[in-house]
Amino acid sequence: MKNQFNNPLMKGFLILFLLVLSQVFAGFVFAQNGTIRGTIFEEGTGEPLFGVSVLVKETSTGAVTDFDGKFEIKVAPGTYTLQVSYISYASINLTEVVVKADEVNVLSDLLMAEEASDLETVTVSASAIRTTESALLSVKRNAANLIDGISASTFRQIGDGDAASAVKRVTGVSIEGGKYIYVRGLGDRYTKTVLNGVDIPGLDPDRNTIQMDIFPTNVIDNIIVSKSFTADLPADFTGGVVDIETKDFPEEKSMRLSLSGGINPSMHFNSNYLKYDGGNTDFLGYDDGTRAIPTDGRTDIPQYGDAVGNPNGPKGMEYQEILGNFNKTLGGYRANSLMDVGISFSLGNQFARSKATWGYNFALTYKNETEFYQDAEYNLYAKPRDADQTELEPLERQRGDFGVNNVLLGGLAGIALKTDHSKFKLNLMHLQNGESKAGEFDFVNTNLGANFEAKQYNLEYSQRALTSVLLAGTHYINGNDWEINWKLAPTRSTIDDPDIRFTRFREPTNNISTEVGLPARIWRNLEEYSIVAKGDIAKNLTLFSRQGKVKFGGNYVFKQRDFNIQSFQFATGDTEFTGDPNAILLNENLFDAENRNGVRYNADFIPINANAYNSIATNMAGYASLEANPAEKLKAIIGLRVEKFNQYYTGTNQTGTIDYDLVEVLDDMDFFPTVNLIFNLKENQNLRASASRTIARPSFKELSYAEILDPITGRTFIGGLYPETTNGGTEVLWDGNLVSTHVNNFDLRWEAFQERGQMLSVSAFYKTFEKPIEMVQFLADPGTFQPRNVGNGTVAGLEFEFRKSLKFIAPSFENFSWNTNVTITKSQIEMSESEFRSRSLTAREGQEIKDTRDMAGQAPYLINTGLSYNSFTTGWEAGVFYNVQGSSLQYVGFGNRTDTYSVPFNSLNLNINKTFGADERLQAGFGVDNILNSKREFVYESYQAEDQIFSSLSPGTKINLRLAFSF
Amino acid sequence: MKKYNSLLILFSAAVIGFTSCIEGNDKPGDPSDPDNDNILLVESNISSNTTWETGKTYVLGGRITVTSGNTLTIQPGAIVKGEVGSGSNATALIIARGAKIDAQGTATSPIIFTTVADEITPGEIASPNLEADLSGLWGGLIILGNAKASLAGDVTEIQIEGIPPSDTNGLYGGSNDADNSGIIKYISIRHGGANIGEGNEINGLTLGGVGSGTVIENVEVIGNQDDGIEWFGGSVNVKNAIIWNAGDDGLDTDQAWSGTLDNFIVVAGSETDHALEIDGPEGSFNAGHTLKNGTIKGNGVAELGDFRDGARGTFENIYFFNFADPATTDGRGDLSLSGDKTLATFAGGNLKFMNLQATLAPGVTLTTVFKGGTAAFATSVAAGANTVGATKTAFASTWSWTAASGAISDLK
Repeated sequence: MKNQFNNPLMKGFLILFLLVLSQVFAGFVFAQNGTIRGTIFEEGTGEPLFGVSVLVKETSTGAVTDFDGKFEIKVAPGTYTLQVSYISYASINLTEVVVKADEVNVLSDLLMAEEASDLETVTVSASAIRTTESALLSVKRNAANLIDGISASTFRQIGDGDAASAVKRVTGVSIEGGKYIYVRGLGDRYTKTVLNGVDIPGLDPDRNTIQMDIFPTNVIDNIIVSKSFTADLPADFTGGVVDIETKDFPEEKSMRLSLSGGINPSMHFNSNYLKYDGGNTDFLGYDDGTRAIPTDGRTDIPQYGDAVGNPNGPKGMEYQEILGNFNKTLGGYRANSLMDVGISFSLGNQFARSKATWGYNFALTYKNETEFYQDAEYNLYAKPRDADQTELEPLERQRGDFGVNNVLLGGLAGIALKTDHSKFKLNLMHLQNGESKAGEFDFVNTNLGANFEAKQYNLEYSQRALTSVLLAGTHYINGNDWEINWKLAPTRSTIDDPDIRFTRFREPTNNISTEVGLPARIWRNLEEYSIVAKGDIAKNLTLFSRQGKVKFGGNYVFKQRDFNIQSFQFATGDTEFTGDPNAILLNENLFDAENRNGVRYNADFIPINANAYNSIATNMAGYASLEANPAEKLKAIIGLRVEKFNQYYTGTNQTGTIDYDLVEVLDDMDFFPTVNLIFNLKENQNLRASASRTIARPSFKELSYAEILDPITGRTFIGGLYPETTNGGTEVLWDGNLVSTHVNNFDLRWEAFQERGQMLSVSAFYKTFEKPIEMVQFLADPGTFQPRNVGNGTVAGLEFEFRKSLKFIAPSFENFSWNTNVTITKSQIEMSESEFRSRSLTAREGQEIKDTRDMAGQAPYLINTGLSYNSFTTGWEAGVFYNVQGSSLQYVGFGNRTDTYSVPFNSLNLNINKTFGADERLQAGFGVDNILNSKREFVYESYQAEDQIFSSLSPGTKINLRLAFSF
Repeated sequence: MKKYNSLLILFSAAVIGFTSCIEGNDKPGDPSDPDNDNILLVESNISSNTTWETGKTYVLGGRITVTSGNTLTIQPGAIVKGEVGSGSNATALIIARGAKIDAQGTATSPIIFTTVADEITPGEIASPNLEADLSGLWGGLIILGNAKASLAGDVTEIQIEGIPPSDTNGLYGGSNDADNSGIIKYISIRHGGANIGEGNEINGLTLGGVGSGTVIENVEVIGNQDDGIEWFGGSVNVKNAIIWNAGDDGLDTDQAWSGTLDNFIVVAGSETDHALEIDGPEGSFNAGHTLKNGTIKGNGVAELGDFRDGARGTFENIYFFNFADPATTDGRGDLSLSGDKTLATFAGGNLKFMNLQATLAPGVTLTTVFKGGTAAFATSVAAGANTVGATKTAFASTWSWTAASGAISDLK
């Protein structure tokens, strides 16, 4: 754990790196000629065309496209015309193709249309086909299901540094907290993220999706968001599947170094910044052992009760030794903060050998970002006990500063091989992320039974690592008739929160007691392995005398998670303090024979630890899907998927009375039918309709007996396996039987595509949820939340998207385009009986309580809009983008606690890029994030009451600078 | 079973650890040793009528609940010791709703609840090896009943603090004010108060929704990390209670407890916060309680009392002494009414004070100590000249360690 680089994967990277390096230098041996590369697609289907002849008119040399629609021609430097021809397709004459010695000219994607009556030839100049998103648009237009996406060319243009900032430009997508993806405003429970089409373990035990900000854009080829289900996709999504596709075959030799910097005037070069000293390798995104647990994770350590009777006995001595070995730092210090910096390097090329074409990619990314939030607030408000009082009362208020330093180190190495009929791809990826936090808060407690002011100190470190290997192959048999795809992907992900430290001194006396909370230390570890094996077979065939395709395949997923939390509390006995958190664990304060009532630790996880568990999930899936054109203008894709999903749990309940050893907690076998219909209304205009059934399953943590207290928020999470009863056990509020949610999805979309990537679409969707899972407050303990199946729910929505060139205003606006997408949804859920009763009991005078409410996490609207300018001739690119997500229910209120809603964050960002030189070797970028200086806020809402802050953070306005060199 | 085995091993190891270091005392037996009948390990909930016998020591191996419908009888002189454990692993004895405890010690043979670290043996009153201010070594005694409590959100039942929400044996509250949870007489609870988290801890004696059919008399709580006795609603009456070295508050009342505490002593320790912490109802149900005939001995850091959040009830014939000057200690040593709601209950006569007496530090006036208008009900008396207060004879040194230690020898 301490040394991430000792694992075999990293060695593999090294070998691959050397291999690639040798090829880089080998490349210099060849010279003189230049290379033309391109890809040809069928305009109607968006699929690559195989066997297209590409001829250089001037030299009469040429090539034929492979099964990826790709071709490569080597010619002497000069300017050429390419003749692209294919039987029954309109030929294309591509003029002004410039070739330079030792360079590759990569043509933009060429679309070939089936020819009309005459033998017609389209003549177009090479520079004129350069549009940014048209290839993806073409895929999108022709895809069987409803997809949206963003490709590498766009990230580069907009200058997005990670997948999180890039993907939010996709219709109906939003990013919560800079990390987690929401599709169509549905929470992360209903969104699935896959890497190269295969499942990867999440890096957060509390989430179903993966943090998007850990994927640097220089390893990504494209991100595709599928919003409607087809049988070849995993069934456990509802809002969408987000597929991050890493690069494989680079079009040309590229070596790119980019440097970035960010300055946030409210956060950087601020001498008030809060930090604490960690290990020597913090700057690389992992802890060097400085924060290691002093017990090595043992569960047979002595407790205070074992030591107090005889401090100098063997157990007492061992106790004292452990006690003395806890890191003594409990509070941070103020010091100057540095700006954000980032460096990334990528290298890739392809080279043809007699029997095969090889391609490789290598990317390294390093980011070091600093955030400093001043006057951050975390509060707890509740309804007053008298029904005629509406204004919310404060119970706990926490206000202060915290600093965050986030380091990301990522590496990707990929090698691909293409022969006449096969393609193989091996990808290795490692991402390492470390986040160090230090906070200082003023705490005011006015909760019942306690009434005090306190000073609070928080220190946290979280390190996450993801190592993923992908081995994939594609084979074509009998020309393009059969296509076989297979993938094998083992992944390991870990999250360690070593030594979360929490301290609170009561003011003004500086004492520590159970009432203010004892100092706490927490070590949390999560390790997850997964292996995915996947195979798909597609066969082209003729159906209804038109082209069709049948596809079938299978998928096997095995996931295993080990989870463990060990927490300690430090009772301070009769020790007196000055208010300095770093003095608490000074040796003179610690328990020993002379100071039996001194500071001591209590290990809360001994002997029973409900928060140590192991879970295994297996998912076997098979599907068959048929794509056909039953009528000239109608395309239909129908499919059926079957998944057998089993989840097993090893762990114990909190009292130790239930001890599970790989007990099956979920056994689902479900069929997921899907129908997608595409009516080609007229050229470039589609009407799509789809219906499907999908599923949302409880997570490992949800199907457990875990009982996790967060000392910072005071909230307790309890696993879904525990039941809750009321009225003396006679009434069951929750039976402990958490089941999967079945979802029915209906989509309707009209879309029109125009030239230069312009498009317009209107969609409507409707989803029904059977027994959705939500976090529900315990009736008997309002600070406790449990995942439960609640009443049935529905979500209805409208989506509107356009991408329009402003040329229609005046020809001089040709380079301006306006992109907008808007999603409006209405969600409703039937409340559980206990929730309805709880709301009725605490209703204010005159308040009417309905038995339905908004679905938790569902935003009522989502707006993305942006104006961009793009001139290829001058190399200037600029854009202003605005994004906002409507207020959504975050935590469902129960008892005297009220609902918590997010406050819309109005995000306005600016980006300007300029490329220099004819061969665009230098690119400079400038951007401003959060121009409106919006705050990230969540509030308590209640009937006729002023909203009160749940949490409030000021991210400030940040200026980004980028410089990229291509070699 | 694996877990139990390791628990057992851990436990035996712990016990061996203790026995190896004892000098001069009788060697306590190994509870896992079947040959020793005098020390018995209790590992699972008590779900049938059970008797714990005089002269024996019962070790609570975890959080042990007497479940509904069953009675635990503890004979005089028995000792109950909580195993080592903290957080949700804190050991405790819970009398769940519908269950009963019949723990009738005598003035010469009390029933003692303590930690396994305590080498006390049947017949002893003072711990041979632990100081009286050592705390947090186990949980405590928790009695839960079906009587009314005024709960937030007007729910009828709720989870008692100190017990993880997943354990439904921790629920209390109902509508039967006459509920009977049994009889407690002459018990001494020591060194407990292990806590789960902020504001979520086990008190020496926790009374949640305990009904008036229950008898509680002659109770002592020593060295508890949290409060001495805390009432959460309910209607039980308590007679003769003595609290020494509470880590938080001496006596704490919440959720409209409607009973009476008659004759009590609080001796503050160096960590004690409030001698009395009196809270108001949390739901719409309102009721007050009565505290009368008490003597409270302070120290330099403790406060006399804090009346909060619309506190209700009657507080009469209470004598305070040995507290700090609030003017020089930032409000230590005072009796305050916190918040508008409390000022309103006080003004409206729902919070009443009668015959309070105090021996003040030199130069301190009544109004600096008794705030919010309560000074009108207090008089200043010379040391030992009080005419109100506890009747000390109820706390004989034959059962009370506080008395035996001399900590109340300066009381009249």
